[in-house]
Amino acid sequence: MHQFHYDSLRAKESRIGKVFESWFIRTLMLLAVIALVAAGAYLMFVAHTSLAWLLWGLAIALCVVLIFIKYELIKPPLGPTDSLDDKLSRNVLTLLSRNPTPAEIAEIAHKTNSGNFLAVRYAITPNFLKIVVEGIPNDITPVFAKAREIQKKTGSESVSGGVLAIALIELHPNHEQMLRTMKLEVEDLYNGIVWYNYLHGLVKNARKPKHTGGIARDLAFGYTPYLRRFGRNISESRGAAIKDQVQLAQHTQIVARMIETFSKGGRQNVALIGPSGSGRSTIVTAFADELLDADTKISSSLKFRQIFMLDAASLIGNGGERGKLERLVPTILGEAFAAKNIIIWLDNAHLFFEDAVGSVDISNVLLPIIEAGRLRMILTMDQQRYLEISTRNPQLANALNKIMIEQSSEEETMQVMEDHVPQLEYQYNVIYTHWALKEAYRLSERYIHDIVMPGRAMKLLESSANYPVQGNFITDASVQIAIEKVYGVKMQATQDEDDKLKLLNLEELIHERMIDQVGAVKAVSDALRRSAAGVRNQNRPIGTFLFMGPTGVGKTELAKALSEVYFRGEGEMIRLDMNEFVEASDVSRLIADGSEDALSLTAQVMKHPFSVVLLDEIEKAHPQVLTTLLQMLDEGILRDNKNREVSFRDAIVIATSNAGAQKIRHFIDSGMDLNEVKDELTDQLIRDGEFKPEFLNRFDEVCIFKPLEKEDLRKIVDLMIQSTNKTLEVQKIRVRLDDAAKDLLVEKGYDPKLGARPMRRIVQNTVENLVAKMVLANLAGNGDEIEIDAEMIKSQLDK
Amino acid sequence: MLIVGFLQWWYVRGWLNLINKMMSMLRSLADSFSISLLIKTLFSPYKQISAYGSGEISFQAQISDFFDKLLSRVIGMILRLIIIFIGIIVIVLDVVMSSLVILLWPLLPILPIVCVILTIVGVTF
Repeated sequence: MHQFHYDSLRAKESRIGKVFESWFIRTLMLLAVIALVAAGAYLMFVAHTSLAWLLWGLAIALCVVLIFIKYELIKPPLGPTDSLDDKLSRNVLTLLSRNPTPAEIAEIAHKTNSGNFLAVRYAITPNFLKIVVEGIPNDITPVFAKAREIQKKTGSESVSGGVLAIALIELHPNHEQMLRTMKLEVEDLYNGIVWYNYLHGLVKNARKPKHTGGIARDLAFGYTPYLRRFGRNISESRGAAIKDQVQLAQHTQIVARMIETFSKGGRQNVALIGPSGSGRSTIVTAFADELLDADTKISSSLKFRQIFMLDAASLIGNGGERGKLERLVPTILGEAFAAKNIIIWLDNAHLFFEDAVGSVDISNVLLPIIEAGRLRMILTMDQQRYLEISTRNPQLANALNKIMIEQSSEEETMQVMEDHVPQLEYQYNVIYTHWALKEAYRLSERYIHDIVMPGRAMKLLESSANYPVQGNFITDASVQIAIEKVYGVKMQATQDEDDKLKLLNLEELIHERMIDQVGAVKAVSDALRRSAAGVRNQNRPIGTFLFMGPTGVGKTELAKALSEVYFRGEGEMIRLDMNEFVEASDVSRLIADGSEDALSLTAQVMKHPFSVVLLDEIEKAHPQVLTTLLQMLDEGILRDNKNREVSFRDAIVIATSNAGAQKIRHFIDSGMDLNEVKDELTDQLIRDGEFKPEFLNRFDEVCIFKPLEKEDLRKIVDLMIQSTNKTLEVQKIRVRLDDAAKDLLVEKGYDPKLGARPMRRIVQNTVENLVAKMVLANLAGNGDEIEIDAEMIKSQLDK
Repeated sequence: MLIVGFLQWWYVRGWLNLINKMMSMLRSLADSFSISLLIKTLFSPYKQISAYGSGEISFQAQISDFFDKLLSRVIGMILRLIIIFIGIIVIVLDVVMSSLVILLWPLLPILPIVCVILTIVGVTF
């Protein structure tokens, strides 16, 4: 059953066919036929000798051989039985030796189309197969037996090179581990074979003749000059491409329901309601294909009907004011009705039912036509718009035959992407790998919110075509670059040596701009390192921290420093002052859609998912607001007011609070270690009703910031002078303070209750004012170093 | 063995493939001329000209509409009849040619032997 016979008829024919595969040999044979016919004609009609028959006989024999070679030997079909000899693909048959070994299979697999497909898209390269073969017994029978099993599992017609390659891999005792290192599973390879078979089938189908009604199809139907001007004939633009796209189970069912609706009596309309990206247009195109195919069994009243999409923009642009449009639309629809073969498609139908920029409400014109139900119409719109329209105009909603479209599953989305890959590869001259498709699904699900699957995955897959790596390959890295460029998500951190170095020295870098609070700095640094190394929980934010402590001790500064050092810069930090969210109704502002409030939390994170999110003075927010934030802290998800999931899984969430500041000070004064009293402090806050336990428990870590001491303030003075020097760098002026001046600043700027906050003011009023005066009085200029002593500070303070 | 394979293919699969190809060509031709569709719509107004009617209710207007439509139907019928005629000729020609090819197919491998015999016999024109 699983024996290969080198001398079987198919094997022999395949090997002979391989010799004649070259068009050169076949052309030579054809020329010989022509020469023999011509020579025979000469002998017969000029030389009058019967030898002409011999030449003609030879020509006929050669013709017969040529036909046999072309239609049988070069492409021998699969045999009638279920034996291995009958099921091995032609490519494999021509390459196999009399006594094949697993090593030989490993070598020939990539010489076949399906084996090459796996090599290019799944990295099942000849070298990888060589390593695999070293770990399996040198016996071909189990390889063929396994291959037959895989062939049946994948629904393949033949045992191809790709199927044999997977058989070799599956026979390796550690194949699962080997595949895991390549981020693959056996199932992925099976899917690879199914994908290859699908593409192969598409090529075969493209060669088959298509019957679409012929020259007489449209003779009985009317002229549609207006419709041609303001609409687009979808059926005509499909042309010979009918039925060339993947049919998802859901789409096939919807097309069947559309056919049923239009075949029966009743209102001849269908409203396809589904979110953008769910495939509304694809369904209409599939429906157009179905009507255009002479071979489908549908009612004759539907056969060869053509779908015209009415272009709202063009109509509104040409129609101008409402009155003119209200006259134009009935003319166009009347023309469509009189033509007798038109189905009108109103894409984004809401544009015809609401008054806004780019849309005009002509429901008074359309409603009677839809209600009468004689003109066939398809309306497509998203759910939200449909709900809005049905609230405004229930009569219209009742007149429509609704069909809801759901977004596709992961499996279906992968199918759609696999279907579109050849088209994208042709357009962009690239090759997509399996990982690119997987990554496009994963990342689009997480970061693209304006449309649903499969549209969102397709959008990202297409964007990634602009970022090929290793020649013209589109890999998961390409998709990550695409999402980084388009959505500002940082995906490649650990692959960049600078970033790695930055992460390893994060504490030092943060301490370049903030003093002390070592525990909190370490906590956030550790969280970022875990995230970059991929060891964190992917279904939560990178880190969630509650910074507690008195004012002016560096809570906000740490968030800013983190944003500056590792994220997109201090200015790009997403900061919400929670004292602006003190009412329960403020929840709607927190999760508002970007079009309503660009500064809402969800809108900002949607735009920049890889950010530091700072919720300042969290204790002042209304409990309802805190409850809303629970899911964000726990699962890294917050739903906006349009019910879209916004991911916080690439954000670091920092909430700050001054609650318990007195208690902290008390602990410090009592000489207690803050780390030891953290639990006591949080318990106290819960008892005092400042926070609910379920809220505090959602944070990865509660960091207590200790009040600053005089030594800390001295270091802060240094940092502030550094910052002033940085500002003056353009003018090449430097400021230097002697120790006495610094001591004086610390003495005047120290306030145990306000931390470092007064220091900023003091430095501004003394040092910065002094420098400003000197520059304006031409006492300091480019390249100068200004020395400031305690006297100068004192003189400023006395003013 | 290869000869057996050749004969099996030529007289079974090859011949059937040829018949299928000819049938497919015939179907494509029939689809292109869509004769059954032309017959079904033989009396329909050509391109629905005047099918919409003027909408007026006066007797004179209705008579005018009727004659407009009648003229449109006659033009449509003439055009369709011409296409039906051309279509039938093309299809009949295709059927004749295809039948000849299908009938000649089994004879083709024998013809070289016939030619050898004709050479030996010495037949000339």
